[in-house]
Amino acid sequence: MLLTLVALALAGLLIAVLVVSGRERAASVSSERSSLVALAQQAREEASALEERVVELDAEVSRLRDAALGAETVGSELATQIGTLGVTAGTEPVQGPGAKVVVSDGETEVSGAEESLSRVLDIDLQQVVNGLWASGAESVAINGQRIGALTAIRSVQEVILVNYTPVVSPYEVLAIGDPRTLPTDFLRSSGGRWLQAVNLSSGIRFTIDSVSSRSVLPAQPVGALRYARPVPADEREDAQ
Amino acid sequence: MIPVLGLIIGIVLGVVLDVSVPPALESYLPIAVVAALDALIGAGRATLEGVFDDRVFVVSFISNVLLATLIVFVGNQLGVGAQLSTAVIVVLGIRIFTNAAAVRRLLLGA
Repeated sequence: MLLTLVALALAGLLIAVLVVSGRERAASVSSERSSLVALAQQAREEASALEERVVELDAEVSRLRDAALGAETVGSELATQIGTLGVTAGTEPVQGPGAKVVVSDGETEVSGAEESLSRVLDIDLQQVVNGLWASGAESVAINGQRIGALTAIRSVQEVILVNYTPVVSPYEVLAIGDPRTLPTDFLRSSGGRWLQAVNLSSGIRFTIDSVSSRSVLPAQPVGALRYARPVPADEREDAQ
Repeated sequence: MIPVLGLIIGIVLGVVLDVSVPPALESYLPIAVVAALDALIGAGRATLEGVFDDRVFVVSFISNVLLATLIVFVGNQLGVGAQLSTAVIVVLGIRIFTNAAAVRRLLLGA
């Protein structure tokens, strides 16, 4: 009788231990997940704080530059030149009428292999931006990311990065230019023809509109510029 | 009454003592529990049929738990631990259902 009792107690012990350890495992998994979520949240806050800092420093740079150039004739000429070039280089915020090209992913296919075909690729956005430049656009931005002198539009896995910032469909490409000619010129340009071709072949959707109201494109600060320099003669021994 | 008491004592002990299972033994615990459940239901059936025997129950309980664990251990050594533990659980599950059906027929007559 006692043996039976012991065996039954053993069975109860086994069951209780299983339940307790299963609960502990579930608790540790959920705490792990919540710590990861907190980590991601923290990183996001850090990133946005750093972005704010970039904007602040950029404003400080232009303020200091204006102060350094001063009010003399040469200085104010240089300031005007910087402003004019900044529009092209994308370092100055700009506003004005123009055109809007919206490109979005097509309907996702059911089968796994076909799915990626109707997605907008980096090459599509590159063609759109090049077509807009060719049709006389003065400044271009994709989803609020200004196309500057050092901007790259490229895919990392499935995500398209503009200025190293991920952008998602629908891609709203805003261009500043002549609102009467820009849309039609773009449709006839290489970019417009590219969009029509991928629309037919892959089902990617796009719209082209002229924007007569003022749209504002943000500035894209340029980091340190790097130039190639010749190696001095006394350091050249290995090159030959 | 006494069997139920034993079970309750075991469960209380398990919860109170907060036994931590070593990670090496973690994969054997569910198998051991299923084997124990099988022995418990079998004992219930034997009790209802009036053929319950202390010695048989204790020996079958311990040997079933050990055997199930041993089979999974051998499976782990051979690299088919997951498949073998599935096999053990299926066999024990069938036995549990058979015995439970017998218990139900004896208790409810249906």
